[in-house]
Amino acid sequence: MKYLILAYGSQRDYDAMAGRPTDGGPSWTPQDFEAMGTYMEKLNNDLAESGELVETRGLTAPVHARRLRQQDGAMVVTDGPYAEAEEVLAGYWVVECDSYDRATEIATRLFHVPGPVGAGADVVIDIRPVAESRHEL
Amino acid sequence: MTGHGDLLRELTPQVLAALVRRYGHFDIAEDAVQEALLAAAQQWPAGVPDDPKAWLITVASRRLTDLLRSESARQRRESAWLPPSQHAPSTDDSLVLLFLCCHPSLSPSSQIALTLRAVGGLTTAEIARAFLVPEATMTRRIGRAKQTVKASGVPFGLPADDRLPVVLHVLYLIFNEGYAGPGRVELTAEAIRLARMVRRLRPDDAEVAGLLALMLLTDARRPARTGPYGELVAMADQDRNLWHAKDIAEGIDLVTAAWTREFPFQETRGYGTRPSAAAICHASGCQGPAARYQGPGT
Repeated sequence: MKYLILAYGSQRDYDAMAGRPTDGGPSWTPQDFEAMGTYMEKLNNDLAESGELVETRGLTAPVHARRLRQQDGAMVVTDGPYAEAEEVLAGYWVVECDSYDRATEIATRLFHVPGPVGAGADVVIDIRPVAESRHEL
Repeated sequence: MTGHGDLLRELTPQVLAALVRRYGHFDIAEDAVQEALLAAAQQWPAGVPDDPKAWLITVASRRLTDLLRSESARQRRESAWLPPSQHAPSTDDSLVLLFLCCHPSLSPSSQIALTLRAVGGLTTAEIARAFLVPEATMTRRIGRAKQTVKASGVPFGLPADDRLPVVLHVLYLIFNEGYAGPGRVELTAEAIRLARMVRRLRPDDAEVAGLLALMLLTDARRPARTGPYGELVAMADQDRNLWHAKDIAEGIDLVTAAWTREFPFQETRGYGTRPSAAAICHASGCQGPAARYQGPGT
């Protein structure tokens, strides 16, 4: 069974991770960022070794997002459509595992990502079972 | 940009194209690339990175994010979506950039300035100095040009119209600016460099070959063109030993090869090959009293 694990972040979180000043938020040092990278690599390696990792990707900063919609029949593009503090998709994992509980267990590891004090305090992770066919929709 | 200037200028259009292909935002990406070039000029003397292009793309991408952050705080960027008429293969990136810089709604002076900066990798200060205008004037000119390109909503791709003649005209104007006065040699060198780049991208185009030949043949006579006091020396009186024989040989080869491919005296085009045919006559001496030019010392 496949599950999609979703992690969120705001533009402000991305700014903080890149070491840019944010008002009131935690400030990341390059060492903090490295430690996070090492932790994520370990997580991904573990999942690859257990054969549960299908795919994982991190997304670039929300400021690079493009939103496409229709207005009076014409296509309109909005660049960087999100508000600064808006939580948007920041990365995902597709895992293939035996049960929903195992997928949930994997997702809990995302709460132990190292970072500066205050980072990750309000982290939310979503887990979504992937439909195996349209009949499951 | 001393030291690594050649490398940086060669990489400029590649890095800018990589950014615009990946993220869009031609106007802001261009600023980001300039800042990356500046960072490279400061940091590379201590050691050039293993992969200079990747280094520049990484630094420019970070700067693009920063610039977009401050930009998006000011305004919401919304525009109509125009699909590209043709998706250009990435091998044509420098050409796509040249087409963007030579957008038909830009004035020739804006096309020139934008081309020199976005494709040539010259700084605004360098361009201002070459055109003998204050830097602030050039900053505004380039800023407005980028706004125009952005407002036109053009996607990163080959335009539907054949803009190569406009590009060649802009390169010709750049060359002429450099040729017009002493101390502005860098513009002729830059025009020749860009013409060579276009020729690499369009090796079979007779007009491109003709323009490059015209530039080489004209520039080859530069050392003999003025006397010790800066006075003009007539062609017949020029000391031909001062001419650059290598450039003349290359120019003649280019035009000769182009002639075999395309009849040169077409009325609709003929922008490059016809004048270079005249330049060949000059360079080979058929208008002067001296014998056919055979190189210095002969």
